[in-house]
Amino acid sequence: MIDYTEYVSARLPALRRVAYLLCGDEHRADDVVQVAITRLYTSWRRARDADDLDAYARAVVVRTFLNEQRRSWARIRLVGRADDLPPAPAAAGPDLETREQLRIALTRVPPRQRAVLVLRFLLDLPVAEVARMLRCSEGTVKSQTSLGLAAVRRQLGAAQ
Amino acid sequence: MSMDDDRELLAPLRDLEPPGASTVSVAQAIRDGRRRKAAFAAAAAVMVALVAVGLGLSQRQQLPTAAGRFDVATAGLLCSPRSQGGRS
Repeated sequence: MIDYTEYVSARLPALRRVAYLLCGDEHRADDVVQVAITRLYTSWRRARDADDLDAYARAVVVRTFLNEQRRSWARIRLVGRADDLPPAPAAAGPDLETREQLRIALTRVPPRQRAVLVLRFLLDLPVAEVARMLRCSEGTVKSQTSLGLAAVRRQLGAAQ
Repeated sequence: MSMDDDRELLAPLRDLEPPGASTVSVAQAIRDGRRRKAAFAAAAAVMVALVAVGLGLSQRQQLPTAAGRFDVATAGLLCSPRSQGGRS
């Protein structure tokens, strides 16, 4: 039987990375992970019995991110847009510069589309699993992917 | 645009890691989780108590009542031996 503390401690870096890719900001990512692992604790019995515990935990993080997005409009206005934040440590080289531009472009994509892009292209999850995770149809995942990619390209085009 | 082009577009972010140290606390999550479970259990108990009180009150209001006034004269008929199936 897997122990909650043991599991979460071991998987924390992976969960934090998922949250960071979704939020684009490490402080918000930590907030999302903190809420997500609290939820995981309250539903630990169900989570432990799930077919794939990692997928379950990841889904909790993604849904927490989407819920927080819906609720925290006031906090977003106080903090400002992601690109108004102090810049990340100087990008040393064109690759890092491209990555930084891409990261900022991704933070400007609507949350649900961003979640779909992260899950499909950065975590390599199949469409069916993304649909299950976001509780929508596979068709919706595909359309959100297409809209999200168009938004990223638009943002990158505007930045250049 | 093919699927590979789409994947290529986001490829620079594949090895992106959170820059700073984590501020997430597992102990805090356990404390908050316990508090949330206790609050949920308390709310459920209050709900059950409210439903029980509500059902009790509605049962009390539904007790059968006499249709008219109680009359001593007619009440005697009900108690007569004939009405009880005995000999007169």
